[in-house]
Amino acid sequence: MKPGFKACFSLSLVFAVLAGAAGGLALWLDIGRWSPTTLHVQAAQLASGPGGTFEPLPPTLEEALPTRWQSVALPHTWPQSLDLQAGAPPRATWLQVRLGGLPATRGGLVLYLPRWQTVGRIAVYGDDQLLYHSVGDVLWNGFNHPLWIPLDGNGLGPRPQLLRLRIDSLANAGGTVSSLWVGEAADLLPRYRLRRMLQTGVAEAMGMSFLGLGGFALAVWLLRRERTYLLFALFTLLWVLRSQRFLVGLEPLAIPSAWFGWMTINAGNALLVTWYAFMTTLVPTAPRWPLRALLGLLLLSSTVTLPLITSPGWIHALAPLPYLVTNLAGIPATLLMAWAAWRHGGREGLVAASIGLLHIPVAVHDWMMQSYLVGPEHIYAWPFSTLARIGMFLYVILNRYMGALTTAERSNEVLAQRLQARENELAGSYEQLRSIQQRELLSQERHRLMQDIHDGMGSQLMSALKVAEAGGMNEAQMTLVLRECIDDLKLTVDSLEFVEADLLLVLATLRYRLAPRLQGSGLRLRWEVVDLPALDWLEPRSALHVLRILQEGISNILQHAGATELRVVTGEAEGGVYVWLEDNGHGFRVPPRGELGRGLSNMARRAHAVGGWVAWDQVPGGSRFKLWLPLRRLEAAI
Amino acid sequence: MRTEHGPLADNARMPEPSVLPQIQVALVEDDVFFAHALADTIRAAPDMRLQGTAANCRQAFQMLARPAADVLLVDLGLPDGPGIDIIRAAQRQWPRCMVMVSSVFGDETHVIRSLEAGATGYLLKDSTPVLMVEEIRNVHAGGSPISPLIARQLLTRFRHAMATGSAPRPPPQAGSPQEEQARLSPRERQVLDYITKGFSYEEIGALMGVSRNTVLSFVRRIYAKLKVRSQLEAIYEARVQGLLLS
Repeated sequence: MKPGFKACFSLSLVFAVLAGAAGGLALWLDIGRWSPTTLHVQAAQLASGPGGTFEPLPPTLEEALPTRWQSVALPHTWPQSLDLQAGAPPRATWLQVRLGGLPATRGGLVLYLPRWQTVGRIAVYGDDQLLYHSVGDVLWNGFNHPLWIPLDGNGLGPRPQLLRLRIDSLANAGGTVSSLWVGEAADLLPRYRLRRMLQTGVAEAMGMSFLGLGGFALAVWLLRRERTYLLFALFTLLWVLRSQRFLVGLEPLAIPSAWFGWMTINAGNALLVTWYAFMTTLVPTAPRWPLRALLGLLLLSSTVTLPLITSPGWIHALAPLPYLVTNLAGIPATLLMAWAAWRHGGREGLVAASIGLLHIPVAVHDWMMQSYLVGPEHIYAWPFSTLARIGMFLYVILNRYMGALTTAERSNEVLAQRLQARENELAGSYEQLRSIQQRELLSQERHRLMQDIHDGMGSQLMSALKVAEAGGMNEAQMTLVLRECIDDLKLTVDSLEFVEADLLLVLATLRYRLAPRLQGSGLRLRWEVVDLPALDWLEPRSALHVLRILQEGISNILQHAGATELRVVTGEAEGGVYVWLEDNGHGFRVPPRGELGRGLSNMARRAHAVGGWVAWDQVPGGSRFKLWLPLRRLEAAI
Repeated sequence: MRTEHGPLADNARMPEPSVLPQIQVALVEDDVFFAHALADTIRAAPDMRLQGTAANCRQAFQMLARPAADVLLVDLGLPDGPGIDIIRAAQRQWPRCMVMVSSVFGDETHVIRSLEAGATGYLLKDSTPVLMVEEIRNVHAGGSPISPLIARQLLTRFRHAMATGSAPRPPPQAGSPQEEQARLSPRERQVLDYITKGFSYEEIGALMGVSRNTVLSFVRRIYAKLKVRSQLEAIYEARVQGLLLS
């Protein structure tokens, strides 16, 4: 349990205790208020005989009263007899109390009767005038409702001097009447209200609200199919059905009396079975056979008590039987479950088992009360112990809910942790991949530079060395070789700095680097370039290819063409761009061999490597070297 | 558009050397052969005088304590320290002196760092003596050399500076005069654009309707802005790191 929940629980417990104490004190003060006009009647004159009736009563007492009266103490109880006297006439029991000597009251005088109970009817006479009679069914006659009867028309009528209670009951039924209170309404009202609340008010209010919760639980069960919710819904429904037994009687029943009895009795048994099923969900190690046995018993008792017997006498005689059987089966089942919960040791199971054990004396008490074995001024405790059981259900459901929330929070945390771990892994592998790519890139770049130095400057220096060793090179030639090497090197360095796919920048750099040589040669340069679209494949490696092709082309013109003018022209054609180097020299008609030939094949190879081509044309007054390059990278190329 | 000469041509329009005051040249170079060759070249030029030489940083700083030269040639790769420091020191001690960096490749990394430190030009070590002397004269006359790759790099840098708001490193005081100084004018931008397309100074001058010298002075201005910009960036960096309080 979480600390917050614990604290809340303790606080509400303290609050409940304080509120209970305050309420109790107030009630005690109020109830204990004793005025001279309050009469607590604890003795009466009793007469009983077979002259009972369930027919409508005339407003004035006309029949002859029994003549033999005896004094009895109140509460007064007469036992039921189990021998069936089918067809025996109802029995009438008379109780009379003299109200003489009561001082004058300010308001009306009332009779407050905490409880009467029998299978039959009660009527109240004041000075032979009928003041009240119960209207319910013979069996379901409102025995759990305390009586509150104005005696003098709220002080407007004459005050009766003689109070008579007439109880008509089945011949074999027992009965009981509590002590009476007579006095001012204001003085007696707190007593009446407290008793009414304890006997019917709590059960009625709680029943309705728990039925609402039960409906909610049913909806949860429909969505989630968790047994606890279904059992709770069932429990609240059964409780409402069962508690009708204690609540009806102020009006005629809506359904036949026999069916009503069948319903309430078996609802009580079904509650027991439902509770046991609930307990098995809390105590998984509990034996299952008692549940099956209880179910069987429930089926049996509900079959036996089916209202095929319409005689109220039979019904009444059979009524305690299933009640007794249920108690006899329920008590061992409850004990068994308590033992299983003790062995299992779960908190919820133990609490629920304690509540189950608590219910045993309550059930016994209520059965005894039903059977007139304890005084009528007791209160049926069954609603209160059931309240505890409903509380247990709610406690379990609350735990489920809190547990689910906690689990969700934890799983969120776990998910976040997992996600973090995955992200870290991913970042790690990405980093690895990047470093591999970088290494590959570096090695490619290194390879490119190596090849460039080897093919260009390296081989040039090498052949120059050979010639110099053979003594066939003068200073001017040596200078030329070195200058070419340096130019080569500069273009290689420049190629490293091409970050934008701009062919004009490549051409510009070439012009910048070759400027001293061009100027020295006396060649007139005509720079006729136009803006070109970006070439997406133009990165350092391919830029160096283009530089070398054009360098070679210009070099050829300088050395072999004998030209005086060089035009550099750019443009777009055939889905690509072109660069023309036009000279006004004599050109060459066939591709020459030797050094020049190797140079030309190198140009063709480099052009192919970037997906382009080179060509030579004769034009009027000279020749034209053409380099065509694609706009987009060709997959196979490069 | 037609033209006849490369960017380094065009010394013919310079006035006669004899009527010019002599250009005082100082040299910081650790390569003995190159230093000798260059010294000989300068001595041979009628309009130049070699005012001093240094072979390392220490000597260079000593040299900076003496009277100022007109043009200082600095090699970045010195044995006892970074040549960049000498450029900065020269800015303070010889404020009117033009600093040129001598470089083997004229590659953008070295050159742009030098320009940011305050250099106004660079010299390719493999140039012929005639061309080198010509470059020194150009710088002294107010022009600056530039290569297409460096022009491209400058365009990229200034484009970032222009995009205020989304720029990762906006200048500290938006709209301040300093920031205006760190922006390229449209014509300066145009010059850089033509250079990346391979046009020579003459060709660019013809395209824009100005003289070659004007184009060269545009380049000089661009270099000056690069220096301002790099200083602003340094201030901004410092502010970001909490080194300066604004």
